[in-house]
Amino acid sequence: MALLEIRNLVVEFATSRGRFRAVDGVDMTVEQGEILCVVGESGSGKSVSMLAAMGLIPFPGRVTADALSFDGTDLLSLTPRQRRRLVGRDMAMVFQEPMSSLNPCYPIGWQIAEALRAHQAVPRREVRERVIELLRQVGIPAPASRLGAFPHQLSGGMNQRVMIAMAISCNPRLLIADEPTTALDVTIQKQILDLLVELQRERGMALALITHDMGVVAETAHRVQVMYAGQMVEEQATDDLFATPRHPYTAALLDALPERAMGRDRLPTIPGMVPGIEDRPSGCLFSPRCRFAFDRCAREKPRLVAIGEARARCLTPLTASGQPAAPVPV
Amino acid sequence: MSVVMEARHVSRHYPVGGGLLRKAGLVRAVDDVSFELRAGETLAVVGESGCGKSTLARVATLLEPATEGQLLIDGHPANDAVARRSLQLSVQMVFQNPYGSLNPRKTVGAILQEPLAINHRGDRRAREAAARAIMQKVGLRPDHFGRYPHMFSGGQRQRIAIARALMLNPRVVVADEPVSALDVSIQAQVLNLMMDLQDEFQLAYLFISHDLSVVRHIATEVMVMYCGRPVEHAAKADLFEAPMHPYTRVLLAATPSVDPAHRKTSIAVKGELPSPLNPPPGCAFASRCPYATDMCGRERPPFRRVYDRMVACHHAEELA
Repeated sequence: MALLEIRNLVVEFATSRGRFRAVDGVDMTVEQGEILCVVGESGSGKSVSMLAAMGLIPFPGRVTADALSFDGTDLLSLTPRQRRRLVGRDMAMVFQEPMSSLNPCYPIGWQIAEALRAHQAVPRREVRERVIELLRQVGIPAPASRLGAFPHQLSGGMNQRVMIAMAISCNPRLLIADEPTTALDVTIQKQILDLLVELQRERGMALALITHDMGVVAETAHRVQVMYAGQMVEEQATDDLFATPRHPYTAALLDALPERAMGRDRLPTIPGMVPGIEDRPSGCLFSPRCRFAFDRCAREKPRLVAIGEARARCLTPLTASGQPAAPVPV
Repeated sequence: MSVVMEARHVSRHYPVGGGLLRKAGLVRAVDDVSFELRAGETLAVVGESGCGKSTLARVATLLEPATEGQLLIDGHPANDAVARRSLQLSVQMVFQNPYGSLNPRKTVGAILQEPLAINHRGDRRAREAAARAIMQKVGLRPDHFGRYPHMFSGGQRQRIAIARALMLNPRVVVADEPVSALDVSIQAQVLNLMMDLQDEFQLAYLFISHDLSVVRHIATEVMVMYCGRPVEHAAKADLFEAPMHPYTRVLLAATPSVDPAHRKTSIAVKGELPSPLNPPPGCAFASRCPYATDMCGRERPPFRRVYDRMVACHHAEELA
């Protein structure tokens, strides 16, 4: 059984111009002990779908799903009290901006201990030892002397380590990391990614990594889901995705990376932009920007089709040669 | 090609703290930087946050005077405030965040005409014509003229910011992380636009970035900075194919590759940047460097020529 199972997740926000679907029918499973990367551009719904799984969508947002379960527990029918017992303990989250996620008014030792106090009956005497041990595990030098430090006294990389220490304090089985390295420098990014992968391997926990950076995906993920405008458009094992992308959007995204366009003068681009709240096409959401689009794309909403191990939401998924296959029957 | 910007041992220091009884500290944000920038070429400055690259941008755009050394624009030294004022027109800037750098209360047309109006160039009709002409060059539609910045996406806003920088026909454009706030597909469009404009107007770019894959695409020469000082300056191909300074190697190794077959398990550098307030006496990178010896901790390595490039490392020859 999958650790986290999401089927047909829809998240809508009421706006002055009517309902906006930030997440539109996303399916997602995270298996025990795997690293899943969710990749997409800004506004693709990757963060919102994970926030929905954690139950962190605030009031005007509406979350519906055919299934939303963690280790067999239905997350949608939980009472707030039951949810609080689960979230933060068995499933924990690391956010993008460590500086703004930590409370500036409390020392970091206190903030990590708070998670322990809330979820685990740790004797008061042992809390301090546990916090020091956690700080040591996430690679903070001289942990005992850092307990009293405030977030502003630490660098961004150190603060992100504190966030990770907090998230793993109750031995979660699923860690969701939302762009954990976007605010950090490359050498520090490398350290944090290595730390996350190492913790994942040591503890056998599942890691769901949300990112927009294809480099981060290639370096860490076992499996990748690509999001576009609130939909999941492709899912594949990492190596296969980079070798033979099946959805035209993934293929175009990879082509636009400077590293892949080596030696070429101008980069291949994707014309146009992500559809906004008002100009959603009625058929395939990517069709106005797709170089392989044909008349059916503008009318029909494509379903996810399986190509071997891969799945792509396209009427003509790409073959290994990068050309579209014969259209799926109507 | 003519040299349009030359920096000779430029430094920018800031006094910080200090009070009645405490001595003020001195942050050497930029220390002894020299380079030549030729028309039609791109010098990329890379480094991590706090390495002084944005301060260098401020000095290069003549927003701030250099504490020491000399900056020459088109051969004219920017020594005093009067000289700086007149030379400022030929150095323009594109900022990192197009959401913050455009006035939300002005239309695109007004934003583009503002540089001309401030400098008393042409009459109203000529200014409008110039604005419309540049809009076409950067790929904005004529009907965008009366719209406000919030009606545009990030990529389009960056086009507006680039258009504004070109209004005064500058020789040099200083671009401070111009694509780091943009999504990959949009980033490619903006990079292509910058390269097209460079070819058309023979612009020189001082391109400041932390993203090595972008730099590798657009740069002619690359200067790597660490703690306010250049550590390696080389032609792009030399730097990427055979990085000489240990820090450059670490930086290249830390950049994630988009080829899953090449997952790098190798050198993850330990530690973080030293404090700029009391930098170590020797090489600033020594505490994190895998090749450091006793000498590195004592003596600061000079920035010197080694084979085809400039490097600041005692052991450059052995590592090459």
